[in-house]
Amino acid sequence: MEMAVLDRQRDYTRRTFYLSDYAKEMRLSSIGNVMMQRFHRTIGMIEAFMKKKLPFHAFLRLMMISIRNILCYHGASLYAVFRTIVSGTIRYGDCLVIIDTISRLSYFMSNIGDTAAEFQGHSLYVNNLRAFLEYQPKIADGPLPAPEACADLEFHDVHFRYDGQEKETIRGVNLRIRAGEKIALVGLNGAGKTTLAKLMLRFYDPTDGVITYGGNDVRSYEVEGKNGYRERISVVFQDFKLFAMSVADNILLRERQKGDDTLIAEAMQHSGIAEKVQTLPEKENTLLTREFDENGTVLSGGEGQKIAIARTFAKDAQLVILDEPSSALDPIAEYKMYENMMQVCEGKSVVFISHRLSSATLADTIYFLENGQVIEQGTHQALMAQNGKYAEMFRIQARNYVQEKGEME
Amino acid sequence: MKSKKENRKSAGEQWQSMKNCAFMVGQVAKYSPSFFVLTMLEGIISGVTGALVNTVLIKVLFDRLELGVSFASVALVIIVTAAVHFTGNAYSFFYGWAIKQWLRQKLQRGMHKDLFAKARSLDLSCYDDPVFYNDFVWAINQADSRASNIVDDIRITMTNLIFSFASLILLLTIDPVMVIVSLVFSFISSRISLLTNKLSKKREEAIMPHTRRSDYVARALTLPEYAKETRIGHAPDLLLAKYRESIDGRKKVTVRFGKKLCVLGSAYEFSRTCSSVILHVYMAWKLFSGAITLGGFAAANNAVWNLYWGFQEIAENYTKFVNHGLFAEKYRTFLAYEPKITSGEKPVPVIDTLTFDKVRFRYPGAQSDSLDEISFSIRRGEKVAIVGYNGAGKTTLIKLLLRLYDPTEGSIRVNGEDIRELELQPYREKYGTVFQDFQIFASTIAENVIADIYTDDLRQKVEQALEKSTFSDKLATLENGIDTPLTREFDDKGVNLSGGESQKIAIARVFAHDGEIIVMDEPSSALDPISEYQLNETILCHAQDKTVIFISHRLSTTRMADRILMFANGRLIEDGSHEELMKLNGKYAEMFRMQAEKYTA
Repeated sequence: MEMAVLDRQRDYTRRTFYLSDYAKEMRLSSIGNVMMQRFHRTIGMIEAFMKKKLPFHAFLRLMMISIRNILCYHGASLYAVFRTIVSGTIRYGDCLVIIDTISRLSYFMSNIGDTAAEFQGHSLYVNNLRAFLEYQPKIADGPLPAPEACADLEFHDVHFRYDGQEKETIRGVNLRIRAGEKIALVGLNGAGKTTLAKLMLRFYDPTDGVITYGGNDVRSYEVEGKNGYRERISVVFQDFKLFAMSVADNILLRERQKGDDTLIAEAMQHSGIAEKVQTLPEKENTLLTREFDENGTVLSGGEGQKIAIARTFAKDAQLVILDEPSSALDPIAEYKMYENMMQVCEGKSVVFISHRLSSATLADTIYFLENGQVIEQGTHQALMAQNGKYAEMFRIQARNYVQEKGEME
Repeated sequence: MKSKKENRKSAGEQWQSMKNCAFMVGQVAKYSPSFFVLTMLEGIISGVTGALVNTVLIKVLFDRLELGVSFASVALVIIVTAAVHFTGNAYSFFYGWAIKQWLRQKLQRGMHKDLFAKARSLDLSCYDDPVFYNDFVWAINQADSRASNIVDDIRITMTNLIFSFASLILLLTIDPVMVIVSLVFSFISSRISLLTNKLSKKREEAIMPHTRRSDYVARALTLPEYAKETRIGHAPDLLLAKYRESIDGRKKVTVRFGKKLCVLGSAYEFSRTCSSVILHVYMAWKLFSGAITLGGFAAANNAVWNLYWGFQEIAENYTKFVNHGLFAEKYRTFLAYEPKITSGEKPVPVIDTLTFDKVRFRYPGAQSDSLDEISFSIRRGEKVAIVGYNGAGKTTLIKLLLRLYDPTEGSIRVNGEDIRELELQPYREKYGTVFQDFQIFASTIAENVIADIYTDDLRQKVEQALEKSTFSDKLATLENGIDTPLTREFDDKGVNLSGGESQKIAIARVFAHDGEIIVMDEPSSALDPISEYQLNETILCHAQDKTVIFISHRLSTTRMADRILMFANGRLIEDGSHEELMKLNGKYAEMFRMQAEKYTA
């Protein structure tokens, strides 16, 4: 194995001992023993690697340096002395100068040699850099501007397989989100819901089949920029990220302009974070994370999620995608968030992915996914009447609530 | 002008920094004595061979040439010089390029064994103190490389001392005046380079915050976890603006220090030229007046240069030790840290009752209490659900229970005994815990479930635990079963699990651990409804006689609890069974109805 790989592995085990993410498990379980074992094993491999390779390296270097420095330097001295004493062709003073100069010469020569060797390393790097700069994104711009009004988004027999995987994650999906329609994607873990969302966003292109927006293949639109297709979409991811910037910047995710203040205030109100932001030292201008500022604010999981949700309220998009947007929210916050979302997204298309099926009931159409295929679709009522997988799933989750109602009545 | 007091203070600091460096050297000598001894030997050998080749033998060579002896006798000197040169090189190459490298690994292994043990004993509150945390990360990341660098820098200093000393003696034998002149100028230029180094260090410190900024931008624009966000909004524009700011900041700092550094650099070159001119004029005068021979002149010329370089390197190395000292101090602080959460002496009984008695808790440095006078009691076998709004203090409660923190006021008691009096490790082992932000470790599924070193006799236990956490279906698709490595950290064939699947692994830990009390913080947040339902069933059936404490935002799951504790703003506001709380018609009932509405409509 390569040294770089071993170094990376050693660094990983070391991280598990000091990063706060791992701190609780490290203290409450013995997983540290496993990590310690890994660490020692990795160091052992590094040692073995070194013992195998380094003596020969050292030998080569010694020979190289010996030839370059010792032989040249002392050889030249010997030759100068020979010419002075035996053949008498150079003078004594010149001999001294030669001996003196040659030592400096050999020093500079070895420097030049070392530097030349470094260029090999540079060249390797430049190769990587060029490959990177010359990379042509496969998700390329098309000629058309994306339509500004909300339009239909359709999947026509879409297949998708991640690079390097054998199985298809999406296997022939057909669905149609009419302009302004609210749809829910539900299904078991690993059914392909998030992948569908990524395809909608053109993070990937289908391996087979076509996705159209407003009747045109999404590949025919510009991707980014003012007229870009992605500009029409706003999204909250399951694994959203906050940036080390102010609350306002985190919500807008663009340069602040005049009149944005009300937009930000409304977005915070709708996502339920406004109250919290009021308590922060500099309100919406407070810096998040401690990346740049020891006094930066670190938000809890639920609060962070509300910031991520506020982004969709602040962006004037035609299609809103919510991937498990409420996993960390308490029931009250969740309830209000959905209420507001429905209100604000009047006339916009909304796709939500959630394991909390209560939110699915809000959708005009529910798509139930299993193993990358849509196996049931329809309104909540229709699917309940159909009494299939969705109905089963819903009943299981609703059981405790429904029981309650039964008791109350 | 510096006052005397300041001088004394800085002398004291230097002394302290030397003592800290000595401590690090002691660490090296402790963990790998051979590394220490052989490295010192390397320093001595290069010093001696350097001195022989560049001063002593050259003088002999010049003398013999001058005397006009036979070619063979001069050639002998050159051959001896080459042999000494080669011997010195051979040692430093075989030791420095090979043996030393693996001795360093041994050093690293030894140091980290203790460092890791120390790191695991650190209180969780240390992570809340950013200054301590940064130092701690620094200490643990650089311990072995710093320690070996300190030894290496001592080696370099030693080599240069021997070398300079030899040149000095040689010069003394030729002409003492030259010694004085070159010492004076060496002193001047080493002072200048000390100043330069100090200034460069200040410049680096001033640039640091700007560099951190641009590093962050580079990370946010390149790391995969940010990739989605940077493609969907205009965050890159904002990030690039930050990047430009950082570059401007760096430019300003560079310009500010650049002028001073330029002056110092010129002063340095000037002193160098002066000494060179003065010495050469003096030597030429001596040569022409016949006081020294041409050979003496050449040898002296050589020695002056060697002396000069030797001193230069010693001065440069010296400044490194100030840095090393700073590091060593942090390292010592870290090693000397005494955890505040300490083990009690009493053996841990079977937990019959668990009591929170007026528990108040405030995170270090926080403005307000996270928990405020919490009192309740849990009996053995009870199933307790903790519910409440975001930020109500639910997770903090769990952390106190597990003694990751101790209460600021009040106490938590087991059968009437304060948990601080009990033995810590056995107490924690009573619990099986899943946290909201659980971690999957880069090791096999089995090791992740056992959370310890896995041996094959545990196979059944692991498989049963995974069965209970509803991971079996996924497991069946994995070629290597429970021996499958997770994450690609150590193995290119490693498997990356989805959020829900990872959560099932974390839950399986609880089943495998089989403690008296099960604690779950949002155990089903990433699970689909079917898995969640199955999980609830298994917990109920597996944990019939166990105490279960769980936090959940899905109130349907709280119905399986015997008791519900409702928290708001760090206070326990409602306590009772589901039926009781619904009847009470307070906050819990409101929350429940809101969530139930969509299911019952």
